[in-house]
Amino acid sequence: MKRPLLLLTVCLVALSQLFALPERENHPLDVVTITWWHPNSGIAGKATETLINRFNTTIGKEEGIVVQGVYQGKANDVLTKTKAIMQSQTTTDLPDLVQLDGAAVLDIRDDRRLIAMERLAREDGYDLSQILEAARLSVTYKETMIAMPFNSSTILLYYNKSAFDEAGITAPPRTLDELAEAALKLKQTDAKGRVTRYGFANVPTTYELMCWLGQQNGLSFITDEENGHTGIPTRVLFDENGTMVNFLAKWKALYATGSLENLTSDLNGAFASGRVAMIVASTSNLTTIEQMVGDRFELAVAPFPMVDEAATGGVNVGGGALWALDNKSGHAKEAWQFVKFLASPESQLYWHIETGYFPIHRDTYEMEGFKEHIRENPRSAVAIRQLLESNPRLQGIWVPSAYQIYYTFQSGILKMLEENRSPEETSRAIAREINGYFAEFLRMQE
Amino acid sequence: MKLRYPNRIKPYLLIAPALFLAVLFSYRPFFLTLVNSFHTISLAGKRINFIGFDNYIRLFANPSFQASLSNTLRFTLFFVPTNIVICLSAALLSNRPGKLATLNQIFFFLPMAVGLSSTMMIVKMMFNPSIGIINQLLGLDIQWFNNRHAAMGLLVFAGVGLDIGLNFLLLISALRNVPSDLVEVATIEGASWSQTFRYLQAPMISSTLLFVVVTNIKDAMLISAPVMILTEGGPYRSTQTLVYQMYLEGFRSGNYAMGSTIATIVFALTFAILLLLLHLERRRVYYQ
Repeated sequence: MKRPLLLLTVCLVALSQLFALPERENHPLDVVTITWWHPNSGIAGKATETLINRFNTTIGKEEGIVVQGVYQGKANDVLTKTKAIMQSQTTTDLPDLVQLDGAAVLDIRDDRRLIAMERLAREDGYDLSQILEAARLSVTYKETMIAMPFNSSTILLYYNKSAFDEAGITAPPRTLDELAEAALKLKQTDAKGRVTRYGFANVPTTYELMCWLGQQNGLSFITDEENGHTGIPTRVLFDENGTMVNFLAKWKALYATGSLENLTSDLNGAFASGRVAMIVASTSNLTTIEQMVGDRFELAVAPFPMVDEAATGGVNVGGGALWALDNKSGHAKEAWQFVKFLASPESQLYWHIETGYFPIHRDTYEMEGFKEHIRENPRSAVAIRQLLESNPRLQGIWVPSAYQIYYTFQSGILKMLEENRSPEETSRAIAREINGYFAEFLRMQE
Repeated sequence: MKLRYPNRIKPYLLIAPALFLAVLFSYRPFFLTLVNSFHTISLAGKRINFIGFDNYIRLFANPSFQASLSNTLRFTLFFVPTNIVICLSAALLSNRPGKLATLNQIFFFLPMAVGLSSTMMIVKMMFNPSIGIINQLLGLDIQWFNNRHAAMGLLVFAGVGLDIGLNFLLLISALRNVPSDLVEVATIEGASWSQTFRYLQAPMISSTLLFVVVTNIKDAMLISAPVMILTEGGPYRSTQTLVYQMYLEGFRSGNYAMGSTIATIVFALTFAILLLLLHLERRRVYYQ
């Protein structure tokens, strides 16, 4: 009688092993879990994990909050996944926090499940003026800060210092005229007359033009509704205020020197291999470009060139931000605690040192650790100084059909160069096409 | 009770499950797309107003669409003949007995077993102008993703790479079905290689060849996945195809009305070409 009983017990015990019991983590019942979808991988991914850990072991432990970071692929993938859930109406699957870049604004800014970051800050008595004005305005829609800027970057001029020394150029170009002059000196050809080194490579699209058009006359808007920050844009302004013609004339002159390469892809590679002496790229590319260049030549950076002496607006803040979503869990307050932690001077200093994204908290700039870091990394210093000197109201454009508009700029400008069209004609054609996309979008409003 | 027409109901019962799925996933979406293309549609996907052919008129006036249309037709024009020549040559060359021929067959057939996205990622790496193996190996300095013609060439190459496996399989099995005694007789009678192909093999495989051409045209007109991964429509929209633009409008810009309009146009265009081809088929193709 004993043996079957024993066998049965053994069998039951063995069976229970087959079903992996969901193991509950060992924390009190009232712990709140916050999910954060992000696109941070590599260096930024590690920094993200560290920040989450710091929160979970300090503030999180005290307040009973556990943050779970979920890497959801590239920025675009994060947006695709978020949008898919929003459209399927299964609100409860939404994360509490999602990190998205500028391209996502139009898709979610009017969604009822978006919790404006400013509201959470107000409820907590948080003073928003602690956040750098340019960064704050970069996520401000209809006077409300709808997200928290996080992975913020600007555009920068990267140049081959060794080539500059060789060509006898002492200072980096400040304006497009100076850029054209320098580019011509930097251009090299082989015996057959083929260009072996271009002075500059670029085909301006949305990213560059936001600055090159926006910085003119101190500040110029590219579309009405203040670049789409106060409402849905209905028409572009660059054809009316002449900024596009002014820019295109300079660009055409640059192309006429024969030292500009119309390069649309792999600019980092072309620059690092020495085939191009200057490029403009995001500050977030700094680490990558430094690694690619290695010891091949001396790399240096300078402020993004101005269109002309009157174009004093500087550059806009690009990159991504943290968005709070209502997934019916009622944990918005806890999510805000984490956002507040990420935006704190200390977290921002760590984030800046690790990733190169610039700090969005004012106080970070006064910290000893920051000053020391800047002294040791003069290239970061250039980017930071440029940003602080820019007009904070110079902001990126929030427009529908961003993909189409990107190519409208790119192919319009190439057409001007290759078919020798006038800047006026080109400006009109680009404006007409983009206004068409705006009209299309307005028709989609109920 | 005995059914009066049991034999009439049974076939419908048998096709009902397949028909149900086809209606649910093909005909219903097709019909809705058609209806949507005559409306304005909100971001949330609701139909707002009936506007007749307005979407079509706007679309044809749009430079981006004009580029897509011309790119797609050019791609089809380059891709279909290139693909047929390569696949047919591969099939003819490996249509012989022996172990080496089998090895060749495996090589030609293998691309089918690799996923599309992975193939495209590999191609993208290989053709990187600065660090890619192609430029290094061949000593070229071609900006594959920056030159409009190079990018289109690359897309054709990628398309052939994707299609070669299945087309090769179809063509080689068709060639194997050509009775070997006929080929032998032709050879004994002194027919040259090209004569054998021209007068014997080609007519015998014409039905398969037609099928391959038809599916190739369909593939070419609908190409989008390689564009998405390789070039994203660039440079300067030179590789933006109709279906890729449909994806952009419908999924990136949330403009379902335009997306539906493009989808309808692609369908009409492809259908027209295929109808024309099937009309030719009645006169030219020989069935065993």
